[in-house]
Amino acid sequence: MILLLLALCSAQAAPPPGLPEIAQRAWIRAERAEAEGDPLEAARIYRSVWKIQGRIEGLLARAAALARAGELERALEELQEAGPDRDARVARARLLIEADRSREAAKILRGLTAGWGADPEIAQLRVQAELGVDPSGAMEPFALWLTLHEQELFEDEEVVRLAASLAHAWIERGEFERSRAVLDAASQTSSTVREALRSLYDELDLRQRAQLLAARPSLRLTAEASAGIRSATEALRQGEVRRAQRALSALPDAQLLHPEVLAVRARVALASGSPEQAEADLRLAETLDPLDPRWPVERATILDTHFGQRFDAEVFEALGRALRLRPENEEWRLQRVRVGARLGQDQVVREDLDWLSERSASAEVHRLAEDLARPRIEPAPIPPGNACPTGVEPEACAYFFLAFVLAQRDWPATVGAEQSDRDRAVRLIEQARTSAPGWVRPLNLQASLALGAPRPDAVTEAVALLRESLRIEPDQPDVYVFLGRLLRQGGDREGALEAWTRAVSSPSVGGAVAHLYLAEDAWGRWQIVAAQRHLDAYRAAAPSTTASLEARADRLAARLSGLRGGALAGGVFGALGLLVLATVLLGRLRRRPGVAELLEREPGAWRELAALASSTRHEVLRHHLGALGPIAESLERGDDRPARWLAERLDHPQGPLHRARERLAAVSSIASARGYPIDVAADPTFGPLVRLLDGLDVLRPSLRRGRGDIAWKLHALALLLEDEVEPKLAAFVRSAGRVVFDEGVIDRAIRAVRAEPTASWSEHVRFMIEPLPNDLTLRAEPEDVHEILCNVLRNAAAASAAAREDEIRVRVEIEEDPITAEEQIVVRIADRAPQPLTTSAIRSRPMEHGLGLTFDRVRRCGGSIAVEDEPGFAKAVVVRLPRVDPLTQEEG
Amino acid sequence: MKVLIIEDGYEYHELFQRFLPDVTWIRQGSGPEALRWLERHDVEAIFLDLCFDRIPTEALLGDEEALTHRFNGDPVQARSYLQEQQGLFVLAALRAAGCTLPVILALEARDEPARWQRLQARYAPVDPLPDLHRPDILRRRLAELVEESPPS
Repeated sequence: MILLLLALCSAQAAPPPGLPEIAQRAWIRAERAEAEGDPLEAARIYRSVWKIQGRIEGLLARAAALARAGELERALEELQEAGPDRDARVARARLLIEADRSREAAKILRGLTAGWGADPEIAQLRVQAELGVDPSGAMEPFALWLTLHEQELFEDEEVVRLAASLAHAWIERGEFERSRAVLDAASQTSSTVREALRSLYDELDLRQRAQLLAARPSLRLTAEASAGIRSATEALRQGEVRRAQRALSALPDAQLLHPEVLAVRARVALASGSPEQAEADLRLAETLDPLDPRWPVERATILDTHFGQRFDAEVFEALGRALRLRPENEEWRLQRVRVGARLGQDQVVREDLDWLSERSASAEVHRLAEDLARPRIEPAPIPPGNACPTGVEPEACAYFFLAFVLAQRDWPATVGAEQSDRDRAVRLIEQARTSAPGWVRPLNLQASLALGAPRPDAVTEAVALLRESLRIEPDQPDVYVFLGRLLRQGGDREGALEAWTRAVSSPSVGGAVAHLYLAEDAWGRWQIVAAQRHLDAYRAAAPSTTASLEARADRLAARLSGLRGGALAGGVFGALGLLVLATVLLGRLRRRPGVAELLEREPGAWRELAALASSTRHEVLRHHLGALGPIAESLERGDDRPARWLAERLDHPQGPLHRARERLAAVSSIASARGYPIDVAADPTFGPLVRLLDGLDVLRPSLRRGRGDIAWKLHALALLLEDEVEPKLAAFVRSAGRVVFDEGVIDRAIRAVRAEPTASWSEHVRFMIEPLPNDLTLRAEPEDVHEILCNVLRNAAAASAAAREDEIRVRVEIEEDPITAEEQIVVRIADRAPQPLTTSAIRSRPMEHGLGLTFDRVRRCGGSIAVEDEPGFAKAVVVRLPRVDPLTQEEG
Repeated sequence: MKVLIIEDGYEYHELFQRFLPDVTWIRQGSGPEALRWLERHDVEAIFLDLCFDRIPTEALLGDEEALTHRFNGDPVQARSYLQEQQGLFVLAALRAAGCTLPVILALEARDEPARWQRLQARYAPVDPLPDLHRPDILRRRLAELVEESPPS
C-alpha cells in the first residue's frame, strides 16, 4: 500500500502489478502525460483503467492527477463515490491532509480505523490528521492504539519514530502518565519481537535501547535507574502511588525490562489496584531472570492473595521453583504446605512438614501436620495451570505463552496488516519448539492454528502435528479427542474411533468426551447397546463439561430413551409394541438410509452435499441436458442431427454422464466416510438423477444412430428432469439448516457460557443486547451458530473480566454486499477490554483448540469473523453469517 | 437478433447456437474480454453466466484483496466467492462502464426472490435465467427485454 501511494506521488512510478497488458500501456501513457505537464490528460487515461478494468488503482491515480491539476474537489468527490473502499478513503484522507483539511481527514481515518484493524499506514495518517486537529491532546487515541496494537505498529519504523518522539515530548511536558502508556507498549514488544526490532530500528536511537531491552538482562542498573527505584519504593512506602508511578515513568526505557524495575512496577501496579498487571510483570521478571527466587515468590503471593484459590496449582509450582533455588527458606516452605494441602499434594506436603518440624515447632506446623493426618473426603481438583513446566526453557515458555495470546486475539486484528497475529504466533511457536523440542503444548497450539489457516491441507497438517504431539507425550486424552474429531471430519472414521478409544481409558474430562463421541458414532450405526454404554460412561465420568456437549448428550439420551420407551410402552400391548419396534428397527436396518438420515446425524455434511447438488444442476443439467425436449421434437420432425450431437456429448469422457456420475460417487463417499453409507439410487433427492442418467445411458446407442422411435423416451426423460431431478436438487440446495436469529439465540449462548464450570468471571460481566432487526434467518446449522456465539462471547467476557470492564454490548445488523446484493447478518460483540498481553488473559482461555474450530465453523457457514474498532468501546468482534432470503424463509 | 454470451466455457454458446439458430450468438470468455469487445461492437442483449471458475484469476473482475479481508484473510475463500459470483461483478462493471443493454443472468429468481428485487433495482434491465429446457422461452424473453429496454 505504501508503495502504491508512493507511486501516486511519483509520475515515473511503474504500473501496479497484475494489470492486464492493455491497462499497463494506458498507465504508461498517463505517466507520460503527467511528465509532460498534463495531469488532466493523465487523469482522463487513468479513468479508463478504473472504469474498464475495474481497478481501484486507476481511480486513485486519477484522483492524485486531478489534485495536481488543481481539481481537488472533483478528485475528492470521485473518491467518495467509490464507496467504502479502503484505498479510496485513505487516498481521500491523504489529499485532505495535504490541503490542510485535517478535521475532515481525521473523520475519515477514525472511520477507517473502525473498519480495518491494525494498519500502520492508517495509524500514521491518523496521527498526522489528529495533530492537525488538536496538536496538544490529539495523541490520546494514538496512545490507545499503540496499547492495543503495539505488535503491528512497533514493527513499522515510522510509527516507532512517532511513538518515541511522542513519549519524549510528553516527558518534557511532565506528562509521565501518558508517556508511560507508549513506553509500556514499546517495552512489551521489545521483549518478544527482538529480531524484528533489531532489523527495524537500525537508524534510530530507540533501536539501541530496544536492543538492550531485548537482550537477556545481564544489564546492570544504572545509577539513574537505581535512584528511580529508590524514589518509587519510598513513594510507595508513604502511600503516594502516583508519585511512584511518575518515578518509574521517568526511568530510561532501556531499564524498563530490568527485573528489579519490573518488580517495583509490579508493586506500584498492585498499589494502584491492578494485580493482573503486577502478576504479569513478575512473571516477566522470572522469565528474564529465572535464578532469582524473589520473583516467583512475590508472584505466588499476589496470586494467592488476590485471585483466591483458583490458581493454587500455579502458586504451588512457583513456590516449588523458589524453593529449588533457596531450599532453606522456612516461610516459603510453610506457604507451600498451605497451598499443597488444598491441592492434595500429600507427598510434597508431608516432606515439607517433616523438614519444617525438624527446624520449627510452631503451632501452625503442628496444626498442618494434624490436618494432613486427618482423612480427607475429596481432594480439591487441580486447575489447569500455565506455569512453565519443569525442564522447559523459560524462553520457550515465554514464546509459547505469547504465541497463545496472539493466537487467541487473531480474530483479526490484523486484517490489513502485513503480518497477522497468526503468522507471528506460528513463528513464536516454532521458536518455542526449537527451545523445547520435547514440550507438546506448542505442538498442540500449532495444530489449532494450522486448522484455522486458509489452506486446503489445513486439516492434514493439524492431524500430523497432533500425531507428533502424541508420539512425544501419549498421555493426552484431550488431544486424542481433538485428533478424533479432525479425522472424522476428514472422513477417516476408523482413525477417529481409534483415537477416541485411546482417550476413554483416561479418567479425565477428555476421556469422558471421547465416550460421548463413541456413543454418537454407535448410535449412527444403530448399535443401540453400545451407544447407551458409552453415554452412561460419559455421564458417570463427566457430570459437567460444556453446555454444547451436554446438549448433545441430552439429545442422544432422548433418542435412546425414545427407543426404550417404545419397547416398554403399553402394559398389555407391551409384547405387541416390542414386536412393532423390532419390525421397525429391522426395517431400518435392512433399508440403507438416505441423505436425510445422514444429515440427521451429521448436519455438517450438508454444505459439501449442497455444493455437489448445485454444481450438478449448474454444470450438468443446465449446460448439457437443457435441450432434451427440443431434441425429441427434432427427431419427430426427422432431424437426427441434435440427437447425434447429444450422443457425442454423452460419450465424451468429460461429458454430462461422466460428470454427474462422478458427483453421485462423491455423495456416496461423503456418507461412507462419515460412517453412514447411504443408498443414493433409493434416495429421494439424488435417486431421480440416478434414474435420469441410467435412462440416458440406455438411450445412448439409439441417439448415436439417430433413431426416431426414441423420441417419446426423450420426452419422458425431459419430464423427469423438469419435474423431479431439478426441483429435488434445487430444494435440497435451499434446505440448509436454518436458524431464526433472535434474542433467544443470543440469550441461550450467554446462559451456556455462564453455566460453564470455568466461567468465574460470569457474575461480574453484563451483556447488553440491542434490539434486533426483524426477519433474521441464517443459513447455518443451529449448533454451529451456538458454538460460534459461545466462543466469541466467552472470549469477550473473559477479557472484560480480566480488564475489570464489566459491560459487553451485542448488536445485530443486516449488511448488503454492494456488488452481489447478498445479505449478511452481522453480529457485533463490543467490549472495553484492551487486548492484553498478560497471563490472566491466557488463563481465562485454557482450551487452545477452540480458536481453530471456531474459524472452521464460521468458514463452514460461509461467513467471516473480524475484530473492528467500535465507538465507545475498545473493540468489537464481528461475525458475519449469510442471511436467508426473507421471501424464501417460509420454505425452510 | 444479436446476443453476446459471456461465459467461461462453451456450453451455453453451443446449446443456443444449435437450438436457437435464428439468433446470432457471439461468445466472450471473461468480463474484461467482453468489456473490450463491447467498446467496438454492438449487440442487442447479453446472456451472462454467473460462475467463472475456468478462467485465470487475473481475468476475474472484482477486488480480491477486499474480499480476502472480508473472508478472514483467506484468499482461497475470496477467490472462490469471486468465481462463483463473477457474473455479478461483470454486470456491475458493464453498468459502471455505461452499458445499458438488457442482460439475462444465469441466476435463478426462485432461489432468492428478495435478492433479485435488489439486483433488478441496481442493474436494470436484468432478468433471471429462464427455463432452459425450453430454449424458445429464452428467445421470447430476450426479444421482450430488447423491446422493453430504452435505446442505449
